[in-house]
Amino acid sequence: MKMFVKAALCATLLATTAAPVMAEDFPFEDQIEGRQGYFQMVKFNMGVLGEMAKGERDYDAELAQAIANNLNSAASMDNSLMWPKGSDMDAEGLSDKTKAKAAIWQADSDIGEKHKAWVAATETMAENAGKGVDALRDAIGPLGKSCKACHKEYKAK
Amino acid sequence: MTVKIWDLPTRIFHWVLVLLFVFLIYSGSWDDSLMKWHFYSGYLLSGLILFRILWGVVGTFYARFGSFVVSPIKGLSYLKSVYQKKPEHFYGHNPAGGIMVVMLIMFLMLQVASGLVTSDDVLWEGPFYASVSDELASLGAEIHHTVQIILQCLVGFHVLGVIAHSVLFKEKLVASMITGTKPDLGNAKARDKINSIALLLCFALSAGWVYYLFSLPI
Repeated sequence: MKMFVKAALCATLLATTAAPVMAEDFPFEDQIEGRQGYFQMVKFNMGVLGEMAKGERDYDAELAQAIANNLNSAASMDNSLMWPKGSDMDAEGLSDKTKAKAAIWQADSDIGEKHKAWVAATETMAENAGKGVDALRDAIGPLGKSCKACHKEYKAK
Repeated sequence: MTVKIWDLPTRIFHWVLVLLFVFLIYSGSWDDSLMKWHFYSGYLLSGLILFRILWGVVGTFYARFGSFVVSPIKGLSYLKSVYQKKPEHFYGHNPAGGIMVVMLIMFLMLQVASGLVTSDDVLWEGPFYASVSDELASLGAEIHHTVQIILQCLVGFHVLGVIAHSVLFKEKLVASMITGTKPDLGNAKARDKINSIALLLCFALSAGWVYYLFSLPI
């Protein structure tokens, strides 16, 4: 009986430690899906402000403020755990799973500065979004530009 | 003595194209403030290209593709004759010019098509972005960003070529594209009169296409 219990215990231990690795379909699946979901949420919020700026949605100061606060919060999050080294598109098995370029993790990468610039742009938006549609329009150009500054260099087409 | 070569629709097409192209390059920079006008200018340009293609079939003689489109081999041998300072004189587009026209039209069409299906991932989507697969939209983005460089190079060559030709062979090519006339060297064949029905048809189809594009949500 003792032998059986020991064997069962070992098997369970093995299974639980192996499970996280076995559950992934590709390396860093959780991190990649997490960060992609995160950007979908960012895109959704940007869309609301964009529609107001383009006149496709009625301007609503309270809603604009709430959305701008969302974007500022999202940008200010510490998501570093979702960006592990080796999760770029050139890594084994990831060419069609992510568009993150290896340059992100290179020594001369300035992604930190670009991220800070994005946070700053969301702060400006949060200060202005509730002050009228013209203030929103003035802030959205630089905000979009700060998104694209990073995409241009670090996101593949 | 001058001879009528370029009809008015062709000349208007050419110079409006120049203005739109310059503005499109400028407004296409990733500073978003003019993006809406970039879209609208692109729509107009696509209408212009459509017009030129149709007019190249039913327009006046020198506007028709049949009168100036030749094989690239002929284009190259023409350039060789220019290099040897003994080129044949053409009242319409010379073979090299003809190749340039074809290349510009093809790349402009590619630029329009790619723009219509692509997105900048942030705030702007082409009107047909939602109707295509993600892969096609991504391909569109890559094409759109690459072809704009190719087009600028082609336009650069075009401008240099026109200037070089005008200076070397003392032909006022730019003036001719404005006035529509060239000096008659004695053997000139003037263009035919514009067929009003053909012109109306080309214009109506192009305008209809542009109108449709403007009706789509951005």
